Amino acid sequence: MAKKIKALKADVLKFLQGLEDAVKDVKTASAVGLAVRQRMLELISRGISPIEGRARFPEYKNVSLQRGRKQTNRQLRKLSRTQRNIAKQLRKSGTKGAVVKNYSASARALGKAARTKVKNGYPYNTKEYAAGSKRPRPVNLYLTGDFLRALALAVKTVANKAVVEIGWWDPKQAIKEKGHRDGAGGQPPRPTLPGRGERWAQVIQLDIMKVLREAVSKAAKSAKRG
Amino acid sequence: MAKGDPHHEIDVFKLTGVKVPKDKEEEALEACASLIKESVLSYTGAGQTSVQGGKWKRKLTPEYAKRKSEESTANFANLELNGDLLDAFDVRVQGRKIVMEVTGDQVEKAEGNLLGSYGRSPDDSKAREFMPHKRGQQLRKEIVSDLKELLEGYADGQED
Repeated sequence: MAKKIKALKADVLKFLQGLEDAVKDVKTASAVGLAVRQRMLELISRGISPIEGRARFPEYKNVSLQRGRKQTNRQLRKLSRTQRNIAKQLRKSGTKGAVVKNYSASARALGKAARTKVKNGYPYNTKEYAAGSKRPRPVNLYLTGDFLRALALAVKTVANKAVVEIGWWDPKQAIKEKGHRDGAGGQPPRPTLPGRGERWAQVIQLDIMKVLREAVSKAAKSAKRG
Repeated sequence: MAKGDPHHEIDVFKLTGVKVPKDKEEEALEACASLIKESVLSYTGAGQTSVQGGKWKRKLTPEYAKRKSEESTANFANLELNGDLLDAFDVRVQGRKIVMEVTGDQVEKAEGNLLGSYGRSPDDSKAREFMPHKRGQQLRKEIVSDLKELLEGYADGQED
């Protein structure tokens, strides 16, 4: 009886080891990396951050400025019209002199201010915008595609466990990721890789879990056959 | 909840049939809220409904397509012209439920899309149901399946 229990224990331990090896091996790590990369690119292409809690990427700085300026200009035009109308009413009523002049001057100044335009900046100042391949929406971190194409993964073995890294190793592209993280050029930050205290978006965490469960399931089936 | 009202509450535990230990409920609910928001935004961004059996008129009218081409590279309906509507879409935990809603000055726009009305009479054939809004409607089965898998992770006692 003791011998049977010992044999059973050995079998169970071997089975568990097989499962553990399945989630630690290079093939599984690569599968995790590929799944994460694919989902990252899918989310980013739709203007969604791959980091939990960040949801949509904020819009481009110059787009916000233009929208803000358009609204301000609308208000200024209204005020200008009001001032002009007051000046008109005063003249009709026979009022003359500085009072009327002040309202007219104010109307002219407001009208001039209402014609203020925001200088075009990114993305409006790119040849891709002129060509039609870049627009303010979606905010997808794509201009030429060099940055997103350079998103890579590396798998290595550390202390008998496979480790997968994902990111940008090309220095020309890595600096862009830093720019997105820091908010370079006055742009709002749009980080793409989780930093300290941050986690992958839930959909990515679920993708990772699915790959691991698949690996465990395959290992369990293989052990059963064996 | 009136038809077209961009406010929907979900009991994810009832929906998925998964029980989570009381001490993990709060964390599980927050994770579910994140998952729902990411999923709905993703499906919407792809021009697809997040509602099981929901409607989505993908094609744009020629006039709107022309206007949209100035602002966006997407030439299909993805509810993103200047982004205000999607930025106003929120998913949060309220007690033991999850609330999906659009609030503020985007409510009318949201209703227009959900009902296919856009300032006129509702027209199902023009609707873009980006979230459940009618009685009995539910999130699409892929999202529900993901929610179930997510919650099972908490029920199993898995930790990060």
